[in-house]
Amino acid sequence: MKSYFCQDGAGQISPVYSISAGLDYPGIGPEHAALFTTGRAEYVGITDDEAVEAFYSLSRTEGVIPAIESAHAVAFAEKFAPGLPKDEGIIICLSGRGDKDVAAIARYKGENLYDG
Amino acid sequence: MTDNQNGAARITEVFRACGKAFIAYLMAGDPDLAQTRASILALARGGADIIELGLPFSDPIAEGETIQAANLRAFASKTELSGIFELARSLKGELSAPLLFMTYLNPVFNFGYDAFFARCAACGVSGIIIPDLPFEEQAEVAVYTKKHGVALITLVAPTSGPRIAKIARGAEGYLYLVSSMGVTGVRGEITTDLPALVAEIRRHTNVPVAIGFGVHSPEQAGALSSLADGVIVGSAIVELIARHAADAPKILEAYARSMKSAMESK
Repeated sequence: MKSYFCQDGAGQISPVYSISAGLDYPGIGPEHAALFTTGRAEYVGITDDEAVEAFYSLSRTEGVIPAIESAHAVAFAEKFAPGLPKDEGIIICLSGRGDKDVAAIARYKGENLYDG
Repeated sequence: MTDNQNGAARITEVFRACGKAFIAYLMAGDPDLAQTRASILALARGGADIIELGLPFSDPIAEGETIQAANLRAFASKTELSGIFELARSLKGELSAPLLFMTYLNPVFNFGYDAFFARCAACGVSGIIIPDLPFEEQAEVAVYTKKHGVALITLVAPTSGPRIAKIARGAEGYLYLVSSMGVTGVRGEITTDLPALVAEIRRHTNVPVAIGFGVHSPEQAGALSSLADGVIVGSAIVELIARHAADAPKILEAYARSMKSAMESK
């Protein structure tokens, strides 16, 4: 079975990084690979900064703390929404809660804060 | 057609001629390709019957710490496939032992199977070992190894169980018997029931069986040769290369000689 990976021109897998430990992987699973190949889903990139900003904005405006993974989706929705008519809706999947991530966000913002 | 048309036959002939084969692995570009060339020739002078040349890969999942570190040193010296093919080509005529590549599937897939194995054949590479290519998935690769006469060496592990029959029946060149669970690296003791595994393999094929993973001492090599047709040593050689730098060739030659003589006395 084959999938898609971040790699260089020689097929060496890239060292990858994300503020979200769950996204710190250079490849995607077979389901996403199939959705991509068949054109049923479109994939976009979000930077750490954009995800952290979205983490704050959903927390502040809705009182819902998204997991950092989900904050990536919120960040894209914030970019995408202004291009839509006012009466169109967007569904965002919040795949996890972010109270587990507040320490990581604090560290990202420069706080010297470490687990246990 | 090339002079490499049948890598598998060339490898099998080596086993037939040498009795017990000492198979030496080292990493291409560790610490650079010029030294790799000197190390290969030194191992061959010492009696290595077959050379397995590792191609560096970012995710070498079968390797223990020692060979992982060799991968990093090869990357540090900017080792690329083009240079490794050139090294292989330059050894034609000078190296009589068959030269094999050991690598992982992605760099081969990325290069393009047809082009990769055509290049192997042109450069005199007799075979390839791809530990992350399961037997059940190898058909798409085997089309091109066959087309270009490069032997596709397959592996049997202590857990292969009912798969041994089909892997053995499809084997060519030699069958790589992985001695132990886990990754490559020097082991004090091998606890797998190797005689039973070898017996099971022999029920299905006459292709030579070589045992690797964890083998380092002449004593082990001697004991394993009474059981199998060959012994594969990687991490111990890589350690010698790492420790002795420019002096490595003469040490490798002596090491190969000690391994070979321990095997011949069996």
